[in-house]
Amino acid sequence: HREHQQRDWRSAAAAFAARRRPGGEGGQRARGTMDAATKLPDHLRGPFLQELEEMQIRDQFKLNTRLGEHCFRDCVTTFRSKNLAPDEEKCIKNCAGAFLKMSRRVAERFSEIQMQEQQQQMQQLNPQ
Amino acid sequence: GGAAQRQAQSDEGGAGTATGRMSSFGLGGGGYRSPNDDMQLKAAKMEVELVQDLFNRMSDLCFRKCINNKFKENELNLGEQSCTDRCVAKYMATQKTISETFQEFSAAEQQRMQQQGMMPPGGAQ
Repeated sequence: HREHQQRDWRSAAAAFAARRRPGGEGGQRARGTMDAATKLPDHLRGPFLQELEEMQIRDQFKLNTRLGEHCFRDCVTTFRSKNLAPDEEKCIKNCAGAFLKMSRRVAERFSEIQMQEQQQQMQQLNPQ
Repeated sequence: GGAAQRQAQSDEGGAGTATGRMSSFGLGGGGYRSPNDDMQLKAAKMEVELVQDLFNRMSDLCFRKCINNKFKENELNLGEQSCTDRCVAKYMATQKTISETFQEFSAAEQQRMQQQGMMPPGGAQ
């Protein structure tokens, strides 16, 4: 029981990130970053992957705050009250959903373009 | 960036294996690492940061330009989907053009400084 509660910040952060991360988006962005890993010698890959995990968790947190900023900007327009009006709440929910879906799509197009560019580079290096 | 990394890896040579064995004794990040190792790790980290930053900015901009701000629905309609696709393509193309322009500019700057005697020929990369 106690041990459970004393989980360190890293496992808590990882659990948070795992809950938040939509499957497709996380996978595709990871593909782009794996190129950096493959260029490293074997003995550095482990430490790098640890650092990478931290960077990805940090990035998830940033996504959280970016989303908040976007949706606040677009949805919250009046300050007659301290509480969010129901239409503002709905707007925020839709805004977040739309952003995450768009983000997934951006990741798909991004990795397609990156792979195209990689193939072009390889063709330039080995013209056959 | 890439060229420097490749040169660093070929410099490792024989010394690389010794430090490789040494650093695998330590626990993960706590083991000994040569300054060269640290440099490579930093370069890899910075590359990841670059990609993350690019991706985040692109997402933010395409969201502002393509996605309707009224948010009556939780889905992307067809227009928003194609706008997103084109936005990504154009943003990447923009970034590529900027990188090329920047490289040309840097090369020209180097030449200019060499001619003015401010830098030895065959200067730093």
